[in-house]
Amino acid sequence: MKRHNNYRITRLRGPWQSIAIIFLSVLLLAWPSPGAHAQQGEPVQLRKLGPKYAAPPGSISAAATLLKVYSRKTHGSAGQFDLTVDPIPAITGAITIEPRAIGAAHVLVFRFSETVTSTGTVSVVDAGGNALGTVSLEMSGTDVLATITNIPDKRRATIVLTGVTTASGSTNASASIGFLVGDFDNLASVATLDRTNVKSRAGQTAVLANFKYDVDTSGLITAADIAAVKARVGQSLGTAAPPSVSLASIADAPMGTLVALNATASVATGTITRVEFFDGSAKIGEDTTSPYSFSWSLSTEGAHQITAKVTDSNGASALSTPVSVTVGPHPQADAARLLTQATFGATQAEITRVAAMTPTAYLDEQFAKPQTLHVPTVSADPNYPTAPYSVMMPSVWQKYFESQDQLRHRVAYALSQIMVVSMQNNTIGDQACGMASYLDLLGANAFGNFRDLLKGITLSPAMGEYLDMKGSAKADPVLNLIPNENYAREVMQLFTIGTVMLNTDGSVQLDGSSKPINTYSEADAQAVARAFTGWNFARPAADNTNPYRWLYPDVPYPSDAASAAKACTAWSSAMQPWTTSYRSSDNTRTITGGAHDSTAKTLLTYPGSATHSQNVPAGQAPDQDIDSVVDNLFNHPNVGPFIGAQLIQRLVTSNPSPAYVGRIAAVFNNNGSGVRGDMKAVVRAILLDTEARAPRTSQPNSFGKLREPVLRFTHLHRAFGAVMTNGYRSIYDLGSSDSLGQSPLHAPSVFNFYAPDYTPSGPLAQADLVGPEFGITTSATLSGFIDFSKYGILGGFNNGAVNPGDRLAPDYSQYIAKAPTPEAMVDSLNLLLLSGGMSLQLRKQLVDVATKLTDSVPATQNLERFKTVFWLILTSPEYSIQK
Amino acid sequence: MKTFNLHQDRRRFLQMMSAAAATPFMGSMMQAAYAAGPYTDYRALVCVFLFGGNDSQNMIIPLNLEAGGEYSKYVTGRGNLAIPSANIIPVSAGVSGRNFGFHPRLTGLANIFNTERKLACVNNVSVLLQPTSKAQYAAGTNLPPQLFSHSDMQSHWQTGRADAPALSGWGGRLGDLIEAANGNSQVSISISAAGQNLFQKGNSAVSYAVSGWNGPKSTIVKRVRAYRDWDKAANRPNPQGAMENQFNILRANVLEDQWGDAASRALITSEFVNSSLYALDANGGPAKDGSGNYIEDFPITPVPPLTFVDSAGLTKTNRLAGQLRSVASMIAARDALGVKRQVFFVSLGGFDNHGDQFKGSADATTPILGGLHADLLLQLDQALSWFYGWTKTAGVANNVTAFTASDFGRTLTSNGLGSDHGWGGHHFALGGAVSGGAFYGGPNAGQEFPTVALGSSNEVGQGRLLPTTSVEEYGATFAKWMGASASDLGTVFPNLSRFPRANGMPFLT
Repeated sequence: MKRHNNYRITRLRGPWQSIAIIFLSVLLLAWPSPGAHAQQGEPVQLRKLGPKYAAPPGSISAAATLLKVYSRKTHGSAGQFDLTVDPIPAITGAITIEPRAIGAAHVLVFRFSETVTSTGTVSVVDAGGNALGTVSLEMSGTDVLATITNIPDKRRATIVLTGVTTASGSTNASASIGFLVGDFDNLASVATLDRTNVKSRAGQTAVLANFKYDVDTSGLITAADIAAVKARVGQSLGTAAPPSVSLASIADAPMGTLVALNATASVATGTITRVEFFDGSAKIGEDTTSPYSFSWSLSTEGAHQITAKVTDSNGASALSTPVSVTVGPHPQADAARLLTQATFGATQAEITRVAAMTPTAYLDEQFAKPQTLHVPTVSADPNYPTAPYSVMMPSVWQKYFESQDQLRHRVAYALSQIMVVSMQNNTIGDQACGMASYLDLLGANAFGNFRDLLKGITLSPAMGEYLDMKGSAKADPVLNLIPNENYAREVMQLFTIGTVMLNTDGSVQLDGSSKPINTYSEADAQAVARAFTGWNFARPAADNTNPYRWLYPDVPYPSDAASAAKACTAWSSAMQPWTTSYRSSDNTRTITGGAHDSTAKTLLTYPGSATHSQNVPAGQAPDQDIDSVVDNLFNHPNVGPFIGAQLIQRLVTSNPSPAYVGRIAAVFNNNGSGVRGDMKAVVRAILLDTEARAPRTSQPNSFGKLREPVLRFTHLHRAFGAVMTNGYRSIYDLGSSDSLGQSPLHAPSVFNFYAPDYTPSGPLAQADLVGPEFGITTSATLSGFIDFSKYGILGGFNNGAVNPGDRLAPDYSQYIAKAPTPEAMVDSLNLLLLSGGMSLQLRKQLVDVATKLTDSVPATQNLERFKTVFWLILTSPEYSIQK
Repeated sequence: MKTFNLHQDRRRFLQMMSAAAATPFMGSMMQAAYAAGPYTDYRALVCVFLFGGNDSQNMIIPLNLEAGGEYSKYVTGRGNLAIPSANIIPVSAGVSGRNFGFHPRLTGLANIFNTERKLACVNNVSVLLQPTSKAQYAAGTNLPPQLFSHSDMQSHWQTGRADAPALSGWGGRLGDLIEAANGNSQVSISISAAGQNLFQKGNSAVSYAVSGWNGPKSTIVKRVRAYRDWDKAANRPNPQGAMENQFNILRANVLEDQWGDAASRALITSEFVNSSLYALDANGGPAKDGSGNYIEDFPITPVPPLTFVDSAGLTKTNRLAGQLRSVASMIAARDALGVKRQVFFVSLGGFDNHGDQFKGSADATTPILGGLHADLLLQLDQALSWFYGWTKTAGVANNVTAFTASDFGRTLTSNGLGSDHGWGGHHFALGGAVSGGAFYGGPNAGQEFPTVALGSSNEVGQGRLLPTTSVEEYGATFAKWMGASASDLGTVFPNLSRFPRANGMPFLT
């Protein structure tokens, strides 16, 4: 309870308050302390963790806080008096006014929360950015004293401290103040009332209550003070009427469009120094000569408020009325998003190419690509005969990184997380052809028919090994043995129908007492287990007459070319029924009649099941029983919503609407030509659905999916053209939390890396939403990924390898080349990595960070800017969620 | 798809609390919420989850050897999975007229049971919606949903409430109620050394993950090294502030918000735990000694058995031992962490032995004496025995209780290579506070241990055991020991009152 009370306290600012805090006022630029940057973008709310989550002292460096700023003068023998400088928004002209005469030197005191050990550097500028006076710094305890000379009256000044050092590190601070002798009421002009106010104090000694009226700082309020004020009545800060500026309207256009920002500015006296343009609070450019215009590339999708600001030679400034512009999606945004959903990562070349096609045309192109297969790669690998466990993953990575049939492999990868066979099983891990053949099967049927897929995995020796159908025999009453139920149970629970009856839209059917209705019973599991008995490795016909071969199939562990070839043939061929005599499991008896249980079975009952093998007669051959079970499960009404929803989750979004699931299930049930289970139609419908293709600004807040580590890894390397020319032999297990935290085909169990309905504590649970991939996201894996992203991705995976062929080396050059203009670099990464969906605040933060990074060597500066921005993108919540 | 919508109500409640936090009204409400504490002593509960469904029919075995006795019925039922009586370790359970033994790999635990009497066997426990008879099972009366499914039964065990959506776990709800005992400690009451789990999922208690210990050159806290390494030499601004700012911004997209929330907590908590467990180097990271070993503020001795020799003679890693070593570190650092109560989660997987129960066995004559399940029990035995020994060394034996949980028990019947999904299973409770050296079972006399035989009144087909103790009764015993009041127990286990032992069982008081 207590933690929740402090769990998050939202601070919502209006846009102008936010801007005010940024530009003016007493501003703490505590870089790198968390939070400072939130003040610089569009209005944001900050997560505030309770006291339990306050940063512990000294463990994360937090810069000192600026407590106060004072304008300090010594009033003769009356002593020293400090005028508090308030954090008032200067953009409207209302800042703290120092009414006392400036004299030879003026002191501004910056007081920090900690003892200052180094003052850093300082600059003083007027409102137009022009340097003012001269300034020197000294420090005293927690204070930094800025002594300024030669500041003219009626001017405003902004004092900027950079690199103030305390025990906690380095910080920056600034304050703005106006100098106008006699303006006691802070109205930026000297009025009769000011004269009256000083007059009423004539003869008083300067004390805390009245010191500001002692304008000549003599220590006594005298006629000289009154005269000085009287002489200035009518004068104002900047002396002249403020300038004015207006901004021409801007037509709505897609992101990336170059638009002309045209401002018209005028000034009463003096000249116009410059006109600046702002997108929200972010400065986007300026012009110093008339006509005042700036060519701006529309930055982020959504609504923007553009403002022009004019500054004149008196240091006065004014803002235009904001102009609204709605920026549409980047013309290539949908292509980028489609590639993110349909491949192992978009590249700019593909984004550009696919943007010129319709999504349908792209999918048709992908459907037509020939399948690149794993078994030929694995079996031809020279390492296979001697190190068979080492050859599967290189083939997987090679396909994921380089193959042209990306969609097929992406769908097969999705299926590998529904119909799980894991290499964590030692036998599967050791027999590369088993896993390779299984993946090829998933790939072949990714665009085929679900019925073939179901039969294929049922007879796959890898699945047979993983879930024990291989070698499961009919009951043996002598030994009191029963058929193995493992595959029978999981094929129903996980691969086809799930445990409860579903409506077409995926919602759970409830019975009369509002309880879910089970899809199958324990008796059903036993019946299916009996139907699945009697299968083992494919083998030469001669082996069928050797009853021992049932218990001891002639499938070697690869040790040389011959044994490797033999093993590969067995592991990559569909299992065969055992129809002749076989040895009992304790190898003491020969059992006649084949290993299959050919008694009658009653399979699942559901609407329509009577015509779909609900009753299996006695005497069917093993393959007939397989066909019966496949027929019975394939036609179950749950398959469409159950499999459809999971494919949507793997490709597009964790929380599809029931209508989306319903549309996909309908296509599964009938592809429009009366065919059930057409996977190509299902994949097409998932990726072309309005929910998948909706532009960012139309997406619901629940849209998207956490990018799982494997897809980040492939995406972030593919985006920059990284390949590993040694055949991906240098990528080992990435499953540790020190590493990526996930390896393909290495789920811990048949229940995959995560459950489709997993919901972590926190915002998702509060919103009643699921986030499957959060099932492998812990405090350990999060920290681990932030590190891995720097050490394992930023420079390219294995980039320390001596041999370049062992590196997965990305080419960042075209983005590094854009670093001199951070906006251009960030915008190009926005399209490539975020499908053009970057928020304005993230864009501003990235641009700010990049702009601050400087180095005397241009190449170093560019590289550092890119690396920092890239790291910030790939750890950001916006990138982390594929949308 | 979900029919319950507690989240919505909770969010409103939180908004209300947030708005009115400072008022006296809220103060009194908070007081009520904290009624369970504060506690002056320290207590820790360790859930050891055996994923996959442990075949406990071979963990605790009836040993009445007379002809037609319980052991012969066990042998008949188990077929090739039966452990020869000569290999079974007898234990002195003190059950009148009945003898029992442990699996031959459980030498350490058998010793703790027989000699120290700090290990209790809680037999035939599983998920129930109400006390259930064999006739009720046959009629399908009020049975838990998806009785024999891994995922559902794991979920039921961990939620402690099989008839409701799996929104929170009983460890998490217990944590919600008693976490006030930990004051403002920056680390959660719930610590997992085995990743995300439903057991610890609470409404406010959010589990913190540590890693299993891999030896003195590894730390158990994952913190971000990259911050410290970021271009130290070049004196460039570290992007840490910008990165954390992105985590801290509240976001409209709920998945983005979840990521930011999780990352924020992870970073801050990890720094705190790191500084509580290790000597720090100049960069605030864990310091190493001259040998490259991390310097722990609270060294753990003796060294845990991180490896074991499997039944084929190969040396392999015992991950459970590494996880329990991490638990030990978090217990040893309890004062530095500022905690009085901790709920831990560790796990050992691989128990779904349909086709591999004795796979890898080197015993040609009696394969079941070796292989996978025997190796798993050996890891359990070595890890738990070490852990209990450490609690004694550290002087916290009476303050720490560990217990096992698992998806389900398994069939008595063999499929030739293993056993299939069952229901009731036997479990261990271990710790100085446990009234051990004894068997605890159903509420009625003679139910200390079920009758293990095909066709018995305890079995519901193929030797699957009909449970006589509910997860609620088993779990409430631990929750009560941790300090939950009678009304708290009803919150932690909403269905507890349906069972006869709603105030817990006598093995831990």
